[in-house]
Amino acid sequence: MSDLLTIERVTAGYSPGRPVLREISLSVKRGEFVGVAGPNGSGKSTLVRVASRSLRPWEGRALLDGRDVWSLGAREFARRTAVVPQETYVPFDLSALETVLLGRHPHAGPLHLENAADENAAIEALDAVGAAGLARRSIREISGGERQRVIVAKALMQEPALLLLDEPTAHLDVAHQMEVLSLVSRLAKERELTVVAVLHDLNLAAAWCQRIVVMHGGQIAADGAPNDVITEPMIAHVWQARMWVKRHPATGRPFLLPAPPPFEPEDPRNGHGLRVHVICGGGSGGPALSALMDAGWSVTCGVVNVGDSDEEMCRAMNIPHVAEAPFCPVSPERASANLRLATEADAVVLTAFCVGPGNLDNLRTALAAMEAGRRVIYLRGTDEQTADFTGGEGAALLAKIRERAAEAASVDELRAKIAERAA
Amino acid sequence: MIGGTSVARRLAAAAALLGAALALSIAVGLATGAVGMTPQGILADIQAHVLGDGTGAASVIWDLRLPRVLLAAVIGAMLAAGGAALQGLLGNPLAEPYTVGVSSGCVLGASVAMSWGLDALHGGWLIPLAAFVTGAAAVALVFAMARRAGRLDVNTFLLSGIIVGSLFWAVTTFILSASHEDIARIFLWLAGSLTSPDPWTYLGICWKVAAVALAGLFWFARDLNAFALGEEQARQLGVEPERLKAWVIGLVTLGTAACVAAAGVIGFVGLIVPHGMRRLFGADQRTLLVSSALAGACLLVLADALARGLAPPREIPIGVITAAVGAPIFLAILTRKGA
Repeated sequence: MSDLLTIERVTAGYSPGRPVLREISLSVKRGEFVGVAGPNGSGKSTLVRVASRSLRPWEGRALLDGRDVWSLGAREFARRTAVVPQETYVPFDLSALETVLLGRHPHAGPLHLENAADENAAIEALDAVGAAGLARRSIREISGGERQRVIVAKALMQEPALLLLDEPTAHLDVAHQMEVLSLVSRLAKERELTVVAVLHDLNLAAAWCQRIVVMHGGQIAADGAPNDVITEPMIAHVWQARMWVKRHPATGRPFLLPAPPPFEPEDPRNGHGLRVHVICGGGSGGPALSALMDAGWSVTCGVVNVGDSDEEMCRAMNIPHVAEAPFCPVSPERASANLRLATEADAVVLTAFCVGPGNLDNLRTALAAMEAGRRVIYLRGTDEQTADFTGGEGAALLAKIRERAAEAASVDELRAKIAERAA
Repeated sequence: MIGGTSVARRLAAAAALLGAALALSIAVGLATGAVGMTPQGILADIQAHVLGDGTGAASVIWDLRLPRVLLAAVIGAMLAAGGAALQGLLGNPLAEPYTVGVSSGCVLGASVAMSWGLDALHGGWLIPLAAFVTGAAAVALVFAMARRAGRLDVNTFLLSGIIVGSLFWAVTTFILSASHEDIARIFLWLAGSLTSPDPWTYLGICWKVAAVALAGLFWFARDLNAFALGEEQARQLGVEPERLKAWVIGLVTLGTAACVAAAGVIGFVGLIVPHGMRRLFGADQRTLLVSSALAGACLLVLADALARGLAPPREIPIGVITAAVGAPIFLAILTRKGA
């Protein structure tokens, strides 16, 4: 595969002495779907403007198929490259069909009157973007998502090899964001288009692009497959944001979750140096763990299996915890480590989780801690969350614990109960 | 929309409907005036002159009304099409030669040239030439004022047009008040008037310039269509925006200069007509230019008939009539836009 678009050591900007892009180099192969991401002001849109022959670089060149884009005339360039901007404002009532027909502009002379063949092609293009029903409507009165689809249809009418999108979904709601991107990705495959899309939303970029280029301060900070590029350290470095990177269960692609806000270790309202041990598992501990960390207490956890999201959570938040190998029953060593943490704590939180032979020991530990004089607070869950797979033993143990344990219905109540006791 | 979706059909529909309306308007224009004329009398008069019966006798129709009506038609066509083109270029329905300062710019050159008596030289061509020079200067000044950080801000553009317009008016008034020429005559012309001692000469100049300007604008109509998506998207469709702006504004200034030289300032025609035509035939610049030109011709011929026929033998300046109709419509568009 050959390079379709090449950016060669480009420095560009809008006011002298303040370059937005600094000696940036990038090449895009034919057929690639490249996402360009980066914080505000990192130069993403400027990169697209250089590639779309809208901004002349101060230094370096943008090449399309090996030719400097500025050596191609505007018309010749427009026959090979189409651009979909963030938003299109049209001052007059053009119909959607007329708007799509504008895509023929670079292919026809000044006195050409659009004929039936042109109109059929435009209707096909509208059909391809699922907007055939809008043909007669004014471009001004349809919704933003519909308008964006019409503009994509206009871009298709240009019959381009390269499609540049500058935050095409910035002004759209979630449903329309997905719609526009899945449309572009389908069209790119069907028509062998090369796509370079500036995407503000990293989750969208990760979900749709084969390759992601991350811009930072006018330079490229990372470039590669989504799983290689989107990492917690990269996001912390480029965006200065604490995010968790997870894998999408259905696609295996990365997606981001905002990390819980950093906790305040010495918040006097919550009592100093309070220690809370959380007994959880099967993903039931997350809310309690982050709420307790957020309260500024020192939190421990156990016993969680490696690979369980509670265990991932402990690692992500640096919570000391007792971990057991994946899918293994809690061993006596781990059980006693858990009990030790529980008895050393000022309070023990038991979350609602499903009980099987493997983790039955967690309930025993909670009971033992209670008998050793620890205060145990049970964070209630639904019946589903507390299903018993031990043939009754688990349910009996839980009932026994709940006879004497305090209960909380929410993490806020949980925090309040722990704090009130400490004060 | 009249004529359906196809551009060609809409063009044909506009040409047929408005062509017929123009013929009718011209007939009304010829029949209106202080001296009553029958249709037979009008036709006989024209026929006599076209066939050249050799009498050479002065006549109301041939020497006065016909050139005047045709001049009104040419000026109406030019101003309305000029407004349509400027609106397309600036993406603003309030733009027209008068509001963007072109007309006022042209007035300066034309009135200075007149006060120097240049209208008697070179077959009258010096007046539109002078008008073009100052009109172009005014537009350049408006552009310079409205350009911020390399971008043309449309609202600033309109505001600058009004400011530059007032400035040029002031200079014109100052120069005229300091000159010893027949000021009353020039002021009457300034207010927009088709009364002229030599209407055929002005018509001869005006239609040639307008023909060039209108043909040129039609040539750029497809590019103007792309401009509806904004300058950047137009460039991405293969339009060279700076070149297009220079051409369209140059052509509009040229046409307006000829109109102003012949009939002074006639405002708002370029505003009302494209506004109505866009509703009837759609926003495509090609149909809009053709329909605006024809409808503008109708409007000005009828406005002129009104100017002559309302209180004969006195005449109301035609600029007064167009302003009286146009200003409220300008206001209506402005408030609805919320701009």
